[in-house]
Amino acid sequence: MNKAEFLPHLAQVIEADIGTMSESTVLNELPNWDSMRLLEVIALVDEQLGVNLNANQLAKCETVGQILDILGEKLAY
Amino acid sequence: MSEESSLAGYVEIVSERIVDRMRLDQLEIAKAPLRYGTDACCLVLADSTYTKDILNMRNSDLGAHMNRIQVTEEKHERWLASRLALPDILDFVVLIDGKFGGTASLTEIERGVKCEFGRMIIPNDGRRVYTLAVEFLGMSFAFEVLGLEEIYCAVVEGNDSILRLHLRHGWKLNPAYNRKAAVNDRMARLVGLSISRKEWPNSFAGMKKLVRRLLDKDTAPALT
Repeated sequence: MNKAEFLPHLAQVIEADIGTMSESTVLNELPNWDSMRLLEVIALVDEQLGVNLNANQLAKCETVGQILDILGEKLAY
Repeated sequence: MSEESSLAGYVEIVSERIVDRMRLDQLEIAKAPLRYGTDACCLVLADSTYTKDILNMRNSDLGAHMNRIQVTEEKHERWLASRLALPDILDFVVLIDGKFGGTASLTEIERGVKCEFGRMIIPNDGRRVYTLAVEFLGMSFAFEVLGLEEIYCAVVEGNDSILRLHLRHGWKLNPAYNRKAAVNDRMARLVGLSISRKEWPNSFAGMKKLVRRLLDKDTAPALT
């Protein structure tokens, strides 16, 4: 799965508007960003990419771009 | 398989490490090494073993909706001892992969009727993703082990993420439990919520997939 394919799934679980979401979208500014959304991202990444994200690493992410960064090469280009 | 019977089966798996399926009136709380959950995440009856962890958490900044206070070890031990003597309170610590992650309490326990549920998970790191597991374990313990009919809680008005978490998982606003309390030198409105035993199977069905992920050591989100 490449980044373009992954982004709509991510937008859905973090309840962001895919039309306006970008890598600079600040997670704390999303209206429903909370521990449940963090957990949903972990589940999504495991199910779609087979990666068990480290919760501490994910919790430090401030933007959508930083989530993509920790996925690194797991996302095809 | 009905939802109720599948729920019962899952709770049985989750509670495999319960020392005994005891009712509250049979518990010797001060002695019981009660552990409810799995190696990935469980509740353990609070005792002095966890004093330093609890103090570190309680004396840190837990956000705008929690009282910012400083508690000494001596004061905490006195408080814990007074609580252990009371028959209507169960104080737990939350262990995530064997390490301290927060606290959970069942208070005002009316045998066979209802209790208040409160929990505090360390908010500033990845441990907070386990909030849902703690919510599940507390509810499961109250309904399945203690056999209560209703659980209630009160959330500081404005603490939208916690309010949302409850509403998403079957809790309903219940004005009977609204109250006011001093939070950081101001009077705050606490929004009352409750959930009944009848609503619990549906609540569980909605959270089951994610709870299973959190409680299974093979899929539980890593912290180190």
